Amino acid sequence: MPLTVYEEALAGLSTNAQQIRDAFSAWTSDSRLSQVSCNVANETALEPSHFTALLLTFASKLTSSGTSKDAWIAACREHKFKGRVIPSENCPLILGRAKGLEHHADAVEKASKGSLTKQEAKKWLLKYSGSHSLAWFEPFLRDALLGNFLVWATFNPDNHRTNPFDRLPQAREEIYTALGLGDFRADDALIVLIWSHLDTDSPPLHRPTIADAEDFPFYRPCTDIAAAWGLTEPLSRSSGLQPQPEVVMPQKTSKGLQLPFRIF
Amino acid sequence: MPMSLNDLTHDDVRAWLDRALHGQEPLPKLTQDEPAHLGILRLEKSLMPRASEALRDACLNLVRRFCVNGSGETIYSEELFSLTSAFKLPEAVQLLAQASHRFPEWHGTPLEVRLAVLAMLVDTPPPQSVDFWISILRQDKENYASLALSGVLSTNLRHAISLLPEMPNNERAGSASVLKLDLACDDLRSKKKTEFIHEISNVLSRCGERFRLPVAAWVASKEAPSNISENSQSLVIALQEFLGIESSPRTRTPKLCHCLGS
Repeated sequence: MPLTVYEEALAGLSTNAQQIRDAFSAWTSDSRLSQVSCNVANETALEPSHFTALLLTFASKLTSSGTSKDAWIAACREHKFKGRVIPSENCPLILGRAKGLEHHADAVEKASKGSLTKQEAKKWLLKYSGSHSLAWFEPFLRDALLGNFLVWATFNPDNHRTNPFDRLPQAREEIYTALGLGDFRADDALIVLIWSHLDTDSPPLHRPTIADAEDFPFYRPCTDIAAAWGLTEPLSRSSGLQPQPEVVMPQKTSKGLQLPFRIF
Repeated sequence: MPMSLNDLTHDDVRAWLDRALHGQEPLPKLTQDEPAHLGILRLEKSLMPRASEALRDACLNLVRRFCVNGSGETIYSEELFSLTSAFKLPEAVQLLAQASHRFPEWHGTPLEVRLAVLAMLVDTPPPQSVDFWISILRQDKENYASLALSGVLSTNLRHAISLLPEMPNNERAGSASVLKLDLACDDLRSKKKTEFIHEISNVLSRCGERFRLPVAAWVASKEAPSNISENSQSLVIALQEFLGIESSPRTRTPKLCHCLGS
């Protein structure tokens, strides 16, 4: 049986390999970390050299960081955006994401640099949900970051020019199920943001890797080594919802935001 | 995820919270990039009352630590104040209000941290007094004016209006003020709303020109509907004259009922 990408990367590490195996084995008692170690074993998105480099960094951090989880996260942060890039001619024109309403109100507040508080931002987001005109709120909304550090985005693979959420049921539960947003609670309102890739300065769109996911247990590596992008893992297969494409990009403001945004 | 948070001592909970605010503890996050304080709040909902109280006490203790000299990493401090606001800790609010008077001495405290404190004080009860916000405004008009306006608006509309000429003379400050004035206006009854807008209109000539532009546009947009309501009254009278008995109760629709004041 051929070696997996992970096993190949480990094979190139000699003295560190056992240390890394032991660290991941210790995670089996933790349901969330055991999923992370599973993801590492099933990763196909990293070139062998990048995978080896990530594991070497992990090994070196194991001796200096507090816990093996801290070491893993520290290693991941030095190996972001290593999945293949979608060629610019194939980039989706429209991308989107869902995030918590509280999260985005926080983003609007921070970007306002003292102009708005979080509660003011939240009230205006609620007021303008579904609206094509934002009046005086628009500059503040467009300054807000789409996401922190690294943005996970989705798109419509059948038609790159359209809103990817138009092909999903317009309901909160179905959206978070399809996108694999696992720690959702009943009182979590979602905001769905859509943006033009071009108007957001066309950042490189990468297939996600385990390094991009860090310790997020709801990420699943795509099993197809040749895949151009990743796929979400719907929280429930019985929902009938299909996995959605996912890519990662550097954090950007909402300058390319397309209206309306919607709150569910 | 720390299933054992319910079993930790008070000191251990404080240490856990310190690490969690630094992003060093697994948290139930909606998305990977969600701020730590939102994951902490989500986790808190599943805690036993004793552990939940310990978490709140830990938050208060970390606020006390900040208030000694305003030191702390920016992202960590912002997370701490967001958590404090969500927990609605009145003692923490008072500590931070008192500490904000020392901002001029805290040269090492980044502006983002100071703004995060002030925004938290606007959003979190108990509200601070008008005098408090005036003193904040005097510290740094350029950076604190918007939040000071928010603070005064929450307790004294008339005084807030008197502050408008002191706002920084730029369009962004004007647009932010419009958003705040509009929210305040939403909470007023019709007659008070008209008075509120009229009083704002009266101070505009004393405001900076760039600040005034968006506010004047907003005032104009608010004043326009009063013409529509006058027209509605004329329309109702005309309908009654034209329809005669047909405008009587047996033929009323809900919309017409409203116009006729029934």
